[in-house]
Amino acid sequence: MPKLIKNGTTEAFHWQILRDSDAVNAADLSSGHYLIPLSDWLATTPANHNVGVWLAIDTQPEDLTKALKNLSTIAIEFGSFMDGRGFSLAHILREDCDFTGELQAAGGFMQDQLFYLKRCGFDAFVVPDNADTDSMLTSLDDFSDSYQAACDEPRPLFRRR
Amino acid sequence: MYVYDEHDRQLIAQRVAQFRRQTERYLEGSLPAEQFLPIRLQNGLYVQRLAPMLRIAVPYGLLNSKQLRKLAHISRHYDKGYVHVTTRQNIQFNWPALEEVPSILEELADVEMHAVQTSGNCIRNTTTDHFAGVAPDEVIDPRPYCEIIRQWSTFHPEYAFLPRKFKIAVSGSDEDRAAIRFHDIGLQLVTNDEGEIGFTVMVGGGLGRTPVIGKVIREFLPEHDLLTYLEAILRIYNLRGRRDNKYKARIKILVNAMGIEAFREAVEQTWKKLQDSPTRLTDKEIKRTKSFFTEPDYQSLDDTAEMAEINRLRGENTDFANWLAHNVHPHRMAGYRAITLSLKPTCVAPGDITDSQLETIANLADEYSFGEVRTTHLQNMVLGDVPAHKLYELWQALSTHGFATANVGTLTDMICCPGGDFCSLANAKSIPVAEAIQREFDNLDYLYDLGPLDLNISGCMNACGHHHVGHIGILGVDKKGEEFYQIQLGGNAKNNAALAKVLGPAFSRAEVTNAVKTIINVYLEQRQSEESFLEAYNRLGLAPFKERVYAKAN
Repeated sequence: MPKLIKNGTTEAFHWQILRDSDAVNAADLSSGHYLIPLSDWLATTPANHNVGVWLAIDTQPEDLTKALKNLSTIAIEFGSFMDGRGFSLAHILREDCDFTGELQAAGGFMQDQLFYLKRCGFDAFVVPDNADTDSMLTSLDDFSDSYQAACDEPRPLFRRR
Repeated sequence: MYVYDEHDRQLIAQRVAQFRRQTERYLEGSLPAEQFLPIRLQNGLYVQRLAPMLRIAVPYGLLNSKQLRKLAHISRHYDKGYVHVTTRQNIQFNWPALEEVPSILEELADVEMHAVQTSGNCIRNTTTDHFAGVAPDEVIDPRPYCEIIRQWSTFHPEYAFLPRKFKIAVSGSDEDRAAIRFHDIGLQLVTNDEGEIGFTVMVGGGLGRTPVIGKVIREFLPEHDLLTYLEAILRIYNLRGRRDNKYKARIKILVNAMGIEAFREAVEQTWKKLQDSPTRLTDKEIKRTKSFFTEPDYQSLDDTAEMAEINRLRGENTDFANWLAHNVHPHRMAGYRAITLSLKPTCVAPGDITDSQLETIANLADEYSFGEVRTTHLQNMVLGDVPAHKLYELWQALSTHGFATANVGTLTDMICCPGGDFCSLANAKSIPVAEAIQREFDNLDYLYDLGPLDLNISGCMNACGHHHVGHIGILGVDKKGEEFYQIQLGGNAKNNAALAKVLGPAFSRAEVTNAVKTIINVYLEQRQSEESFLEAYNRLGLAPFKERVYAKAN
């Protein structure tokens, strides 16, 4: 079972990811934890607070709107760690959509991206069961400051110098 | 020159510590090679044909003598005693051991240097005019803006995994000496009618497989909006740039596919959201950064008086006169000159320089130029602030150490990539071709008669040697396992930017020099009065050159 790194500790990842409408329709969303495609969520806006949105890495930025603002959880699933679109999608969710819920990084990102992922607004990271989470927690804090503004620090260094 | 404060020092120290941990994890087997790849690239480390290659950042080409001595020390202790100046104004070590790289980076951090983002699909070292701050035709000094961009782009969390590499160049003078039209983003400093400082922003230029001249996306961007506008361009590129084919992944392909109008519209829409964010530059920050690039302690000098003795010596010594005419450049301060140290003597790979030469340059910089040196994208070095009355003694010192070859701006002052001798991407060797041409054109008077001539050589279509923008460009190609060389004519990296056109079928290595000679002969026969090679080409077109070169070859 995958693990979730969150708030400096590790917990079990108890969410079920449903990547298409068929899987969504087949599931009973009234209880349990689910992540479903954006279009399905917009069509149904489930009452269960534990139904969140799953975003593929090729999500079109114009599909991200303020309708997502009050969701409890959104997961962005990376394909390859070389595909950096998720960094911008996260930024848009936080800055343009005012999303304040839990933003999970899932899929093929790598340990050494954790610091940048955190800066772009991710606050939960889905990692394999056998991951060295101590080492990952170190990577999350590779740097103690940054030049640019980002979701973790709205003021660039030049406004704090 | 910019000086680190505790923030800069801490960030670079933490980067070194991070890379040390990453290298250890890689060597013990817990960090997979495919994940270590982008990490080591963003720390400047390539694995090359013969050994790793480490590319050190020289932000916008500025070095001080302390840094030069450190580079000399590193090349002596960790490498084979020489380094290479690149076409992005950076410095490369060719033979470091992977496990020693964290220690090299630690040594560099001692002198406020690093190898951050000198490779990889991220924002690379920002380049500029090597005469920045001293050129008489300069409107605004580009260096403070380069430093602002350096800080903003360093460890930018959103743009470290772009579709492909991303290069920015800034020019602050009338003449473009930074090839800004051939960068992903080119920035030309300008003032508007109200006297406010801003940028003309160009986007989507580049060389490589698909050479493109950058297009203007904004005529006037106020200086305070620089970073927010760059953010907007990068956001669009990161989200929409192609990732399915690395040869179509540069921003130039996206801009051409969308069309500049649609691209501009997308950028402007994103910019609206970013424009008033805290990333908008403040007067205080612009002033703070500019405070690092103030004038050195110039003396008030009378140019005629300073040059009197020099002009007398010029009349007595032809070699000195040649050097004055070709390697010495005007300066905006009376009584001062900028000097190019030619790294292109025959028999040395263009841009290569030894450890003891680096130390010599450090000493000369301390003695003659306020302790500072510049690297150029033409693979030479520059002493920017030399008092004119010291030109003769400086020339003597430079001659002793091999930097006074009076060929700057001539055919033998060529740009040349490391090519097949070092680079694992290359299709063909480039250094032996450069050397053969230098041997053929070794008569300085003949070279001077040819006038200004950019000859650029790349060992493959990735175009590190800028062959597309050479007046004469040479491209190494592979034909069934054999090295061949395509010749192109008519490129221009400056204001009237142009891409070179292919002359015809490629030549074997043995034939290249002769082909160049024939091209030169056509020029000499057909030129009118003072016409330069490029002007003659623009009037004549490809045909007369083609006719003669292939008539002979057949």
